[in-house]
Amino acid sequence: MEEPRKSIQIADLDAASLLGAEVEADISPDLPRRQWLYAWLLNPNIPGNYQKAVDKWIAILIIANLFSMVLEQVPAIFEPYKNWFHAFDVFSIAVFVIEYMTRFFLAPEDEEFKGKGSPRLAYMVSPFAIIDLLAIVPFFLQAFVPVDLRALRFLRLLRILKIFRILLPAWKEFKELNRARTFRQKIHAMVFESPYGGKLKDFFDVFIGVWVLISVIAVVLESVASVSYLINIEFVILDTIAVAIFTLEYMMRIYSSVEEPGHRNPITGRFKQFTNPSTFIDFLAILPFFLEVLLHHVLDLRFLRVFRLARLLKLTRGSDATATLFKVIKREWPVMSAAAFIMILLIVLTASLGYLVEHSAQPEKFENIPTAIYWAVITLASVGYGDISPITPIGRAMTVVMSLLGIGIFAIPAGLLASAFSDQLHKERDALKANILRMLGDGELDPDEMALLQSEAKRLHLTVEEMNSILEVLQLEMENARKSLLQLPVNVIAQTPLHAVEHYKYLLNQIAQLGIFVDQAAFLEKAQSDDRLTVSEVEIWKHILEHR
Amino acid sequence: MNSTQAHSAPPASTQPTTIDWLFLLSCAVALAVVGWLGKMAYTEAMKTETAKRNGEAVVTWMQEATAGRFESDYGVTACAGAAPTPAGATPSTDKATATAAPNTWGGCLDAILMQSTMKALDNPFREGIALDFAPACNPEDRSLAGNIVMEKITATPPGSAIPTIISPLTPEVAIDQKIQVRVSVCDKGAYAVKVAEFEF
Repeated sequence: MEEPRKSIQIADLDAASLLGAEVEADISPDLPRRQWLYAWLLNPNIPGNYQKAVDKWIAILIIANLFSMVLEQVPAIFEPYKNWFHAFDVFSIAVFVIEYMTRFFLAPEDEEFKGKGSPRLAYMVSPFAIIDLLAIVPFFLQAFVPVDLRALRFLRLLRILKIFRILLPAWKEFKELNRARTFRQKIHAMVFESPYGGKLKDFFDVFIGVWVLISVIAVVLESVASVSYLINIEFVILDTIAVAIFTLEYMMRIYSSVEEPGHRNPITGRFKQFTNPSTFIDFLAILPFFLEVLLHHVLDLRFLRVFRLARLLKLTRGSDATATLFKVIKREWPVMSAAAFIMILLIVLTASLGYLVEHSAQPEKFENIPTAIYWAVITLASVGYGDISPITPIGRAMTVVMSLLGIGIFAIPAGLLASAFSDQLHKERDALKANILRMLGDGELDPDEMALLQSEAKRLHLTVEEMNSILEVLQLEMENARKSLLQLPVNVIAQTPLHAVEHYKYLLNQIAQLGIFVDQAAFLEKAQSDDRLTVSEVEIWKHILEHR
Repeated sequence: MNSTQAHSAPPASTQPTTIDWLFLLSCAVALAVVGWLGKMAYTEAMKTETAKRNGEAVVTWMQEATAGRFESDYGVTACAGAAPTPAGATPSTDKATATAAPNTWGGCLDAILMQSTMKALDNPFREGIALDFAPACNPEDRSLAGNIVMEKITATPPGSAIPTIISPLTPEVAIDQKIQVRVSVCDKGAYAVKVAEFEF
């Protein structure tokens, strides 16, 4: 059963856990050995234990196995490194066997099998355990039964099924999150950022990211003649698979874009999405493949292959740093364009002067103003190739001045960008602080607010110290706000339940303090003798004093 | 783009609609098209692979056919190199030997083509046409695709800006001395793909 979603008070907020920093697992060393081992290695409910790390490394090993199996099909790679491939295979099997045995041994501690008559047997017949077993059995099978090598390779593919141990829970979570949503909304949740994506969306992003990297590495390696000579066919196959994946992603994005705010119209909404820069990059990522294959008889379009490197830009979609940079450039555009205007002015003036002064002395180098512009840019930007240089005294004197000017003028845009970037980060951190204050309006953070806070803190790359100082400032501000609350009229205080509670606590404290300082007997005598307090009021007085 | 404010109105039905099915169908068609184009690209790439294998066969065959061409008992006279003068020996004064023209690449190629199986190799880019030699690959002439290009590599004197000069191994090139040869094939775009470099 799922744990109820708890809210957190600001005083209980821990910066380290909020930022996902290392938290030490609270596991007693006095636990029985099996229980202790399960708590450290496999229990998903203990923060700070090794369960996530175990899952992560097993997943990495499965992916590495997949790559290894693919590379084994390439004789040019497999033959020279046969022993390394075999060693990796043995290592993988050893890890998978250890994992299987550990899960088998610890099955009686697992919530899923604990209640069963024979927990270990229940584990063995569970779908995940069968998959785990299938991943390792073929390796041992070849030792006892003569298995055809091709059949063995096929059986080794079963190892990939282990990935379902991670995918299935993510799929279940995705289904749960999208229970009452349409097919298109589900597609949208998969390709766009939304609260409905869950872990499956994260896996999808990682999958696309991995294929982007693979295809970019392939493009880079294709330019190395010795590599391309050996595995050109493999590059073609790889590119086809990558294009198939990116085409599907592109179609999913265009189709479900109607679910995006401002894209409701099925035609104009999709066209708007098509013209969106990031979607256009997706289009450019697949276009060269179609053009090159379709038109190769007519035109030599191999130059288009370089545009496959545009796939790398797909990775910027999820990058907050890139988003911040674009925001900064957009914000500072007027200033930067002014700086660019001055730069262009200086370049044209310098080039014209250079042409005027040097043309007669070296007509072949300062042939015309465009050639002189090249010289001006190289000199002003402090690159100084030296292929064109002035020889007249006036030309040299002018070069001295323009070189000094160039250092200042060319540094302006860089300086502007750097300061605007830092300024933007400060602004976003202030916005985060304001956000936390707003979310803490009711004195506590609910799980959704916590998730938002965590993602924002990660986006802004806050350190634990920075987060702690923000929380301290917030606590101080909240304390001050509480003090100033007392000066407000009661009807204003009553509008906010939190403020009303705080005010009530304050009043109770005041009564308790009064009870400490006053002479009790004289107080009661006076209250009762003149009927100044009713019986129930006196009872409440006594009750408060007894319980405070 | 964050779309936490994505339309959240409850749908009438969560079952796939006709449009959804059409989308799935278009996905399947797109995958089929990519697969078909991928197969075309694979077929074209396989032709380049065949051209490379042809180039490798030529290299092997040349190395085997001309091994020991500087030895006195070498069989193919047209390919024989000039035997090195032993240290301390005086150069030959025989008039006939001194005026005899050195063997050329063209003569050698003709002689060894007579006894090779090279004619059996086809140009993978031009069905039914036998493998041919070209002086150089030229992307502007795509009919050269699949041809074999043989070039002579000449080392430049120490201190030169470029370490070697590469020139076509034309029929008139003298082969009386050892030469460094580069074998390439022209791919489908008539760009050169280097196969091997060896001493001839």
